[in-house]
Amino acid sequence: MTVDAPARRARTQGLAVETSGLRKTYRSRKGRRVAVEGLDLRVPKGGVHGFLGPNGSGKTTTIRMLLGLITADSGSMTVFGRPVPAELPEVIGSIGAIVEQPKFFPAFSGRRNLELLATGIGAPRSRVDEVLGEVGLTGRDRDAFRKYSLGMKQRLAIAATLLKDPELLIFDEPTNGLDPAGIHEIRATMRGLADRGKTVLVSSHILNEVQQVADTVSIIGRGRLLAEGEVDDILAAAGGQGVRVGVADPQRAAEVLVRAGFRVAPLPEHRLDVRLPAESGGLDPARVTWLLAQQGLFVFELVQVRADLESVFLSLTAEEHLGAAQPGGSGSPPPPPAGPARGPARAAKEEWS
Amino acid sequence: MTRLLRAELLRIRSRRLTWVALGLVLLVVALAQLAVGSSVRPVTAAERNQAQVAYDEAVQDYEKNGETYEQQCLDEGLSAEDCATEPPRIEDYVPRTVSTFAEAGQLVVTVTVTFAALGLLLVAASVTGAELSSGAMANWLTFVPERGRVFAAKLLALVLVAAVSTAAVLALALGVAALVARGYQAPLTGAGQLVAVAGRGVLVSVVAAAVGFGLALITRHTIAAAGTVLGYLILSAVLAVVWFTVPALSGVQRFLPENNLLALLLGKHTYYTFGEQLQPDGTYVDTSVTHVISLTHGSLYWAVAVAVLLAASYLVFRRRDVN
Repeated sequence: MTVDAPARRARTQGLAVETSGLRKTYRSRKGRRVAVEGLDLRVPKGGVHGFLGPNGSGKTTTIRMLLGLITADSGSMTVFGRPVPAELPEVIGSIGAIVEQPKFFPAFSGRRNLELLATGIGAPRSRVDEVLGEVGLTGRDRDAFRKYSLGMKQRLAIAATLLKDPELLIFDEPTNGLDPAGIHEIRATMRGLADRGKTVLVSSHILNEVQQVADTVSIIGRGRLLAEGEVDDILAAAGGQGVRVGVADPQRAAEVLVRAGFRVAPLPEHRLDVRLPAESGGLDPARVTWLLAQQGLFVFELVQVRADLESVFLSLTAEEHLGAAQPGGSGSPPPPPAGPARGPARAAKEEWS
Repeated sequence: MTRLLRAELLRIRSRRLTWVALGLVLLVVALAQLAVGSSVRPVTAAERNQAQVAYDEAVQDYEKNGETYEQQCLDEGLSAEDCATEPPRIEDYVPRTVSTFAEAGQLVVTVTVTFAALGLLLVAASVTGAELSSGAMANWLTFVPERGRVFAAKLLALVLVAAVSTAAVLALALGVAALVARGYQAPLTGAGQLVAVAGRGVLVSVVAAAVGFGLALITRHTIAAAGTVLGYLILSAVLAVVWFTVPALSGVQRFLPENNLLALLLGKHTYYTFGEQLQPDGTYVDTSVTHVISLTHGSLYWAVAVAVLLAASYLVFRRRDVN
């Protein structure tokens, strides 16, 4: 499922991050484990880009490779058009990153941790005060990092990334372990950064959170790209909106609706999930009731159902989840499909009548 | 590079262990001064009088009972050689020998350098191990991705800290020792030689810091690095028995780290290869040989060892995935 939004945006704005055929394997006692398999990732400049995938799908590995923390087996990567890791030192000043949990010296205060980083990159000490103020840690800046709550640790990590005033911010699972207020805060911070013209690449497996803030997304599974594009386009491509129809004779109703071009899936208790193919535009609930009523089929329930990123994500990564549940499921990925669109498209055909 | 170096120095300065280690070394220096005071302190008139009294009593006893004691010994079946007694000597009754400033100073330098080197090894291993095990290294590399520069800055910072702190502590230790010796009217002899030993002591501390850094970078943990050194020290104690019981292996001592470190510090180090040869009459003749490890040997040994360790640690650091 590829929506050409990244290409469209890239043409107008350029790409902040691009990977091509990226591959990484890890050696373990059980043999080689493929973490990233030929990943082609495109992150447009500006806005929030959600980098989605189940746990273990290769998100963090990809981010680590981008930052030069681990070495790719093959493939290429660019950040703002510069090949990395070869030219990473030239662009690192434009990148602020938090990889997994914030990692600082636990015995040092938040301020001292930032001072060390600021000294290393030649940022003035006044910048430390500024970023501490920006993330609301001014009053607790002299407490030891280990005494911080998870939310405070995350805010300190964001403050660290802001020391450089970067153009690209990479947040890897930034809301892990945070309470709702903390999640809201991080979300607002990411949106605020994007609104200031920065590019925010956020990896997550919490879809609702990303859906609320992301402009574009890439969905990966088993180290491969499954879908990419603008959030709205992806939702539309996945079936957009539909209706749940309650009718006394669901089998006849399904035949009527399929003849009319709808995609219909049976639900329990005399109900049907009715959708239109993505290319057909919006679904009009009134047309559904009219078609059925003409055949003497009277609707006793009609509920609008909107596709969300979570359902798209689950649909796209279903194979991975099934694989994980089977013996040896976490091993090598299946042969890669010809393109990101094939997996989900095939799944849709099997599911819908 | 200067910025990275400043950051590393700030980090070392900010660590509690750095100051705890320095405090312990200063405590050792203070205790060493007590030893200096008691060793250069001249024998007092009271001590001399007490020694004279004891000596006179011993002479009287010898003159009165010496032959009786000898006869009793012979009666017990021992040889005349074993039972021969000599008249008492006054120097055996003086309570202690008085050291020169050079001797006392060398003791101070040796003790100070030993503890400073151990402290710096631990500080270097801890600074490096903590950064790797806490994950802060990954964070640091997202700010400064050039691993060669990062490696060089970390090593250089530790070398600077080791050299400056050891030089300062040794200067303090020798300065106070000189004051103590002066207080007891002991002449400050051999100061030039002491300065040379202290200078090499600075080198020993630098070597210790480099070893701590290299081991921690390879093993990734402070405990693993410190454990490697501790493990070797235990092994070394076992080896001391091996040299004695298996003389054929004792030649290996020339290549032991501690012996070469002593040669580097003191200018030379003496060790022995034990041996006995059976004679036709059934007796054994001692064929032990005294060997000397020269300053040149010790210096080259450690130069090569540190270079190999640092090269290995750099290769590991450059290629390793950082989590």
